[in-house]
Amino acid sequence: MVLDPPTMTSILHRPLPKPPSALRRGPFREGRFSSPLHSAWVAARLGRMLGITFGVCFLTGLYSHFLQHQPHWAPWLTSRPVGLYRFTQGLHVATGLASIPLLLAKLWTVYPKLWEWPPARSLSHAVERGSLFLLVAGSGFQLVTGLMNVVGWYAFKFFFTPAHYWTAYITIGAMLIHIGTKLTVARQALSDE
Amino acid sequence: MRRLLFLPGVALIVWGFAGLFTTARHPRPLPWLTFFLGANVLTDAVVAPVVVVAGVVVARLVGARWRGYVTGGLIISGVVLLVGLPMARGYGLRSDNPSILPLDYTRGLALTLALVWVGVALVAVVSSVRERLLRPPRRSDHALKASTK
Amino acid sequence: MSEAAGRGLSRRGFLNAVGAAAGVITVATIGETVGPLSRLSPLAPRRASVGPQHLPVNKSGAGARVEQSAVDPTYRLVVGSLSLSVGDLQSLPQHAAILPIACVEGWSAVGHWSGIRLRDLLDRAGIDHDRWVRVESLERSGLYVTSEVSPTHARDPLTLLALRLGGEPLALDHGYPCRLIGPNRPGVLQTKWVRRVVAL
Repeated sequence: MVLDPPTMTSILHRPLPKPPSALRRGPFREGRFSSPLHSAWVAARLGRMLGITFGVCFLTGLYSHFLQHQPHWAPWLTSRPVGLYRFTQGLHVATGLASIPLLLAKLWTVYPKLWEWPPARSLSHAVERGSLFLLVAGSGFQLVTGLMNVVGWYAFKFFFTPAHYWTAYITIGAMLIHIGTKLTVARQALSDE
Repeated sequence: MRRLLFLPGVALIVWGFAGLFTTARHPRPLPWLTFFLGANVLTDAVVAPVVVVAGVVVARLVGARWRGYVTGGLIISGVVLLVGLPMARGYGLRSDNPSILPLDYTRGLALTLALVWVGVALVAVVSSVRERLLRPPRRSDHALKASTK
Repeated sequence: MSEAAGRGLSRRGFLNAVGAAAGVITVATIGETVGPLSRLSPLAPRRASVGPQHLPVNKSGAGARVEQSAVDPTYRLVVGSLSLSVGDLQSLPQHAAILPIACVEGWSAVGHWSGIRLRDLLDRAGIDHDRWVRVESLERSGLYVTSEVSPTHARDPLTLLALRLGGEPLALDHGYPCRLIGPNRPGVLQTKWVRRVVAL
């Protein structure tokens, strides 16, 4: 059965039944997180920085991947400038390492959102949180495996390069969705002094 | 804008998962999933609660005047430890290749942390001196600021 | 800032602390690729001047299990129809190139290499200018035992099959008897212990 778009939209946004409030315990309770740092003002600024650093990592990473697996249709991946790869890869690793505090701070800033009540208001809200899960897991995966690779600590049972390469697409894809959903809120928060 | 980013986002995620489990030398699902979920669990169930507890401890032990600086110093120290500990523990060391991790990272870690706290102390002293010089503490001044916030 | 003095970290103060953390991490590690800053980087996983012949390596000869095959007197480099001993290689015209090893792990260091231009060898073997070539190592297994070289890289006058580093014969860990070294190429593609070059 194919649903026409208006029906789809209404299904996506229809409120889901509320879970029994008896389940609202521990960190789910209202007002559990009191620090003023859990704010859109902070989150938007950290998010903007992460958008930039992840963008840099993604592009330099793609360049590294395509230099290593050079497609025969890409003659523009040339041997000059001599030290270009040295620069892009140094930048890739330095930017990735600098992203570690940014990501941790961002996750902490929005930590109360993890304990949002009700956990899913509507289907579209559930989908959005699902993509956020991919974003958080993917970002963590990239930074953790990246750091481990930099220090030569191969405690994972997979080849680093293909796993890091494909997980990058998942992470950046989820990041685009996240930027899309938060754009209005973030813009407002960024214009606030 | 929302929709403009939504479609490429979904496409990239699908492309990523498709490549992840079909291409040459792809990771086996379970080891990959361990790290994918592990990172999530680590930040939400370990790092965040530790930070919350640290915040409470600092609030109890450190006077309001210096609390901000101590918190800042702890944030920097925590990240430095996170990055430096795998090196200090020598997780990447290989007996056949002395050019991997060639430095004394325990010393490096101690040195970096010492410099961080010297920096924090400097910032704290300089800004409190500056504050005292620029704004003589007056009750009315504070009240005015609070009302404009 | 007065908020910071009053009741813990302000929002601005929090951002500054996080930014400072990113800065400290960057400075503490960047020396692995920006040589002049290496003294400021006590947490750099590599140091550009530490390694055999003062240059780091990722995989040692022992790790690649080429300790015997690389020094075997019957070693020959095969390029197309050519078969060359180490002596033959030394008697060919030698060229120098100052090129970095730039590793995917982020470290990089410059070496003074000398050896035979790859394009000279390809010309001798009668391999056409527009052909891709594959460089194969004595190393038996691993992700990077071979690498493909595009025509632009293969014909670049700076792309060498290097025999020497810093004026001395290559150390085993750097790929003795000869290794590929080319401009703007990830370190994993600078194949060491080369035994064969084939046209694709």
